[in-house]
Order: sequence, then structure tokens, then C-alpha cells
Amino acid sequence: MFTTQYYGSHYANIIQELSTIGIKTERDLLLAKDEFILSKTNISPEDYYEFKREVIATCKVPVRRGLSLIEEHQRSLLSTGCIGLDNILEGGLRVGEIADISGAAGTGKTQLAHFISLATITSSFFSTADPSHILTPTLSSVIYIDTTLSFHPTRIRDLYLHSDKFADLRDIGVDVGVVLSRLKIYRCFDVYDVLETVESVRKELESGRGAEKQWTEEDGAEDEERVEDDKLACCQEGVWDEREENANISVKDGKGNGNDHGETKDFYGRLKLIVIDSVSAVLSGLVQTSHSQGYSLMMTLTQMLQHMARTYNILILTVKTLSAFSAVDTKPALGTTWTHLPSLQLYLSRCADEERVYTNRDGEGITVQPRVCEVLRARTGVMGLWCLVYMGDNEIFAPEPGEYYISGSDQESIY
Amino acid sequence: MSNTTPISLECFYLSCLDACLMQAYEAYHISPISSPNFSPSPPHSPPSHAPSSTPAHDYNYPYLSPGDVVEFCGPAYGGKTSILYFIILTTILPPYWLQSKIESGPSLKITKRFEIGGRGTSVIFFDLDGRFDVSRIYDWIVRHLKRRVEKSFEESNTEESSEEFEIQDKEADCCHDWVPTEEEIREIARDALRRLHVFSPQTPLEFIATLHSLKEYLEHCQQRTRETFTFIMIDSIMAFYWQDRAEEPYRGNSTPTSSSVYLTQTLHILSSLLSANGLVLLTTSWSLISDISFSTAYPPELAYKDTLSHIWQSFVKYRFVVARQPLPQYEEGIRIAELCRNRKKEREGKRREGLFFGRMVTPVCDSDIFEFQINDDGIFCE
Repeated sequence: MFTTQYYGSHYANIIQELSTIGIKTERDLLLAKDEFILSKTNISPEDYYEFKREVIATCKVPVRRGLSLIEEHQRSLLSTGCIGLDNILEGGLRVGEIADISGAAGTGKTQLAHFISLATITSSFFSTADPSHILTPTLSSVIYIDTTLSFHPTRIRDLYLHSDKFADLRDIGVDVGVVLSRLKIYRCFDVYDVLETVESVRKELESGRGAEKQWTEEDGAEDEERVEDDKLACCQEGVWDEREENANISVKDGKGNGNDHGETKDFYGRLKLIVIDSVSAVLSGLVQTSHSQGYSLMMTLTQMLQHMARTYNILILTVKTLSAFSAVDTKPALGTTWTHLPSLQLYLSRCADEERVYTNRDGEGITVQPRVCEVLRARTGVMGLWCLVYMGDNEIFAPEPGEYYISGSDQESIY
Repeated sequence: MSNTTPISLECFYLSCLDACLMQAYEAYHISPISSPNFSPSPPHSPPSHAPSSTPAHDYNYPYLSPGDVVEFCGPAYGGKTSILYFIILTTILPPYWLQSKIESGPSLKITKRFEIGGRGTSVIFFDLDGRFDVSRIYDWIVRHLKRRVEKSFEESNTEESSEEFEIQDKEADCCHDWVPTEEEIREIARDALRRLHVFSPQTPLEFIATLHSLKEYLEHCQQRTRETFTFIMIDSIMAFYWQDRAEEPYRGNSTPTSSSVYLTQTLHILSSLLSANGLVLLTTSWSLISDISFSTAYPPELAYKDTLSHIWQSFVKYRFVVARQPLPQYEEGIRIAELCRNRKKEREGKRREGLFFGRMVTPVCDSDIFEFQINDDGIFCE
């Protein structure tokens, strides 16, 4: 709506006149024909064009030259926590983009999403070339939007408590409660919930942008204190309560009204990843029943996500279940429009090889099953590459190709 | 305004696409070309004996002429945006780069030149998808220049020259006086990126307002920096399509039509911009149909069905469908050994991931399917 407060009282008459012929918003004005407006109102052409210029100047976006874009450009990657997967992605998932994990039901998409979430939270531990030199903890934050209402906090907790990936962290005393306090879970029942949640996250990011800088400048010692503080704060807030035997992460409803603790700012300042598990659950029904509106919502959602990812350097990871007959991906769950939206699509599938037993650092034998993870589509990087990801109870790892476990008879046929 | 602008004819510098322009010309042109230097003719020749299937455009040049609208459509990851990036590269790179060196006192100034073969003109890019990747263009430019440097070394040995693209053929034939260093290559690339103007509106309103402001912006640039603009690119025109559809029916206009008012107004502004400034519009668009049920003589990836309204359909002069050639998908329940064998085969054979194909769908003529490759070095036609 045009408001005199915004455009100034000297335009009051014009705004009044325009409203009589149904032109009430900037959109109305810019889509109407000049001749139509001038013939239907008593506004003089000079006044009209001056007002229109004012509206255009208000709504237009500034230009960016290619040179300044390249100067600001920073390529940052987020490790998936799996060596083999990072390798086929040329280092990891690209921050500032939307990536998508798809696959049939039961192929381990959610488990992989959990693992990537934990790896992201603890990413600063693994960022140095020398793994023995583990830095003082600076934990990143992750938001997990659960639309299937199947998120079990214990699953992600057990993954941290048992996976070899996090063994070093457990050894140096990085408490599971502290790690999980960096994870916010939102439950969303439909696409409107998701949109609302995403919008509330965006607002938090917008207001807390300044906090990020402050954090990166801090040195390790202060960070250590901060972790202790975090732990306290979390206990008070009840996000994570160690005292309960069945540890429980508080799950927020879709409204996502962030509590205005000082902690909130810190949380969003270090937000690196938003997971939506799954997008097909909220969108596919909508797309099928109301075509135009469904697509509109899907586009609105992805444009919001894309913009947020770019502006705040966040990775958006979506999980999508494919229908049983879509192994060749000719009919993705969300129609072909969705295939245009993410910048990277990973595809998980089973292989025929038997499960194997992996002995972890604690000497426990864990049954793991191999999955093929394929780069189905990628805007940058190489499409068609694949790696094996072994998944079992509370364990995920993707070894280098040389370490694939191939049974004796099969092995001969390769070489 | 359009009378004063000299007609400049451009091509894609991608042989597969340029061949299509030639085919369209051969099928539909009305007046024959008299000389290699085309005399400027009125933008709209009177339609005389055009075939009945000819759309509202004339195809009197085997090149792109000012006011033309080109659309690249096709499935996701089909190379549409990459083609735009490649055309940006050929456009913003200068025809040559001069190195001024002052040797033996200020009296003697030696200027050396390195032929690059670009247009040296500017591009307006609308990033409606929010995915514009400037680093990709920059990397391509740097690699392109490095290849030219390598080539110039080869040429100094053999006189043969076969360039990937040339604009000033005659000039580019002369050998390079000097080749730039690694650092100078980066400087050339960065300098070229000055000629790329990117707008990233996020709502249909921001987009339309920016379009309204573009006329003034172009004038401002032409006066201040004497830039010449060749292309407006919109990636992708479909970005706001569904949002716009949802906002209908539109209220408060004298001519509420069933088709999109938003699209009509967009095209109205665009066409006046194109004709007033002698620009060519390049757009990408999605094909939402991946239905194999309607069988054509083409692979399903290259099937085409109109999705945007008729106004847009007739606005487009050349339309290409491009797609990545389908990869054989790994079957559920494949054995790891089988996968490893495949990988070995792929390494030995051609890199399968970078193969693309496409065809021209507008104007309709018997054009063949063409193939091209996209990789970290750029786009290459066979």
C-alpha cells in the first residue's frame, strides 16, 4: 500500500486520486498503462511521472558490477564429515547454496542428514590439517526443520555418543549436551509452518548479523568459557537437560518464536546449516492438489531459502523421498520444477553387497550396510561421480575407494 | 533513437548455435544478402512471400540483430545458464589488450598488443534465480586467456590458426606482439568483469521497478563510461512465474486479460528497451514437461512444449532446447564390484558427465540435434 508517511505528504493528493481508480500499491502502479491513469484521473503528467519515478526508485534493486562481485566472493565449503563424500564433492558442500539428498525410503537420508548436522556443529574441530591439533571448541549452529514428525532426539544423540567420527571430541570432553544445544529443532506440520519458520529464522539472522563479527574475533580462551556458559544457559532454558535419564531436546512448534535470551544472538550468529527433512512431505500433496498455488508456494519457499543461504552464508540441506518407482528419477516426487531449484542433488541407493561388520574404536562390532551416494546433478563440480557410504546403528562413514569392502569372488573381476 | 543506432550483427561464438541461425536464415529469409557487409535495412521489412508458418519475425540475417529475443529452455542442469555465462565471456572480454612499456627514456613508448577477440561491450544480467555464480565466469575467462596464450605459442611455430571464437577476423590473424603473464591475465579478467552489470531482484515488484529504471541506467552508463551494451540476459524468466500466477486475477487495470498482466508489462518495457538501445535479449526458461508420453523424433529431454503464455511465445525469435545427455543411472541393488568396473571404464573413455545436446525449436526448420560439452574450461562445440 502507498502511504503518505512513506512518500511524503506532497504526494497525498496523487495517492488519493490513484486509489479512486483502484491503484493502491506499487505493483498496481507499475503494471498499469500511463495513458490509462492519465486519462482516468486529474493528475497532471508532470506530477504523475515524478511520483512514478519516486516509486521506481524506491522499489528497484541496486546494480552490482561483476568486478565487485568477484572481489567479495568467498568460496567456503562445509565438510560432510565423510571423506569419500567430500572427495566426490571436491571438498564438501558449498555454503550459500541449496543441496538436496534424495533416495527411496529407508536408504538412510535422514541418518546422513543427522550426521552432516553433527559434523557441521563440530566442524571447527576438524578444520585443521593436523587432526591431532584439536582446537578449542567453537561450535556452529544448525537448525533442523522436521516435517515428517519423526525426529527422535535420541537418534542424533546416540550418533554423537557412538560414532567413531566424534570419538576424539568425546575424549577431550566435548559434552553431548553442549553439542546438541547447538541444534534447534522445529516441527512443522505443513508448508505454511515451514514458511513461517524460515521467515522467523531470517528475521533473527537479520537482527543478529552484527554478532557474527564479534564472535570470530574472540580468542580460544574466551570461547572455552563461553561453552561453559552455553551449557548453563541451556540447562536453564531446558533445551537440553542432562539430569533426565531419557535426554530430551526440546522441540519447538512451527511458530519458532525465538526466546530473547542473549544466547539467541550467538546461536544465529554461528548458524551454518538449515536442514529441512523432508521437503516432499510438505510440498508434494500441495503440488498435486492445487497446481498453481502449490508451485507458487514452492517457489516462494525456495527463493526465500536461496536468498537466505546467499546473504548469510548458510547451507540449506533438503531431504526428499522419492516414490518407489523413481529409481531413474524421471518422475521426482515434486515434479520437474523442483529439479531446477537445488544447486546439488545427491542420490542414495542400496547395493546388493552383503552387510559387513565394522569394528569401531571401542572394539564393538557394528553391522554396516553399503549405500551408493551419487552426484545426480550439480551446477558446479562433476556430475555422475559416486562413492560408498556405510551406514549402521549410530555409525556412518564413507571411506576412500581403496578401502571399499569387496568380497573375494567379485574382487577378481575388477582387475 | 533507433535510426541513429547502427545495426550491429552478433553471433553466439558457439558454432553449434550459429549454425542454427544460418539454417533459420536459409529457411525463412526474404531478401537476399548482397554483400558480406550487410547494409543496414529497416528493422521491419515488409512481409511479402513469407511461408505461412513464419512467425512474427523476419530472419533476414544469419546473425543476431538488435531487438532479437533468444530463449534457452530445457530441463534442469541442461546448460542454459552456462550458455549465458559463455556469451558473457565473449562479450565482456576486449578485442585486444595493450601493454604499454616505457623503454629507454620517456621519449620512446612501446605499445604491445595481445589479441583476445572479444566484443569489449557490456551485458546487463538479471539474476532472478538468485544463483548467479560470478566465480564460474571469472574462472572461465582466466582459463580462456591461458589457452589463447598457449595457442599463440603454438602459432608462432606453425602458421595455422584455428581459434575458438574470433570477432575481428582480419586483425586476429596477425600474430601477438606479446603474451600476458599470469598476473596480467587476472587483470584482464577483472577489467572485463567491470562490463558485467548484475541485478538481483527478489520479487516481481523489484524486477518490474528495476526494468522501469533501466532506460535511465543505460543512458547514465553510456554517458559516464561510454559503455556499449550488447545483451540483456534474464536468468530465468520463469522465476516469478508461479508467484505471479498466484497473484492473479489482477485488479485495477483497464484491460484485465486472462494472460498475465505482469508478463505483458514486462515484455512491453523490454521490447522498448531493446529497440531503443539496439540490444539483444537472451533468456533462460524451464521446461516443466518431462512427459515421455508424447513421442517425437527427438530424445525426451529435448521435447518442447509451450508453458509460458502466447504473448511470450511470439516474443521469442529463436528458441533452443538444451539438455544434458542422460546418464545411465545406477540400478538399485547394484554390486560394488560392478560400480568399480564402470568407474574404470569411464576413466578410460570419454568423460561422460560433460556431454550436452540441443536443438532449435523456433523457428521451425529441419535443424539437427547438436552436441556440446561443458566443463571447467568453458563450452566447446564439436
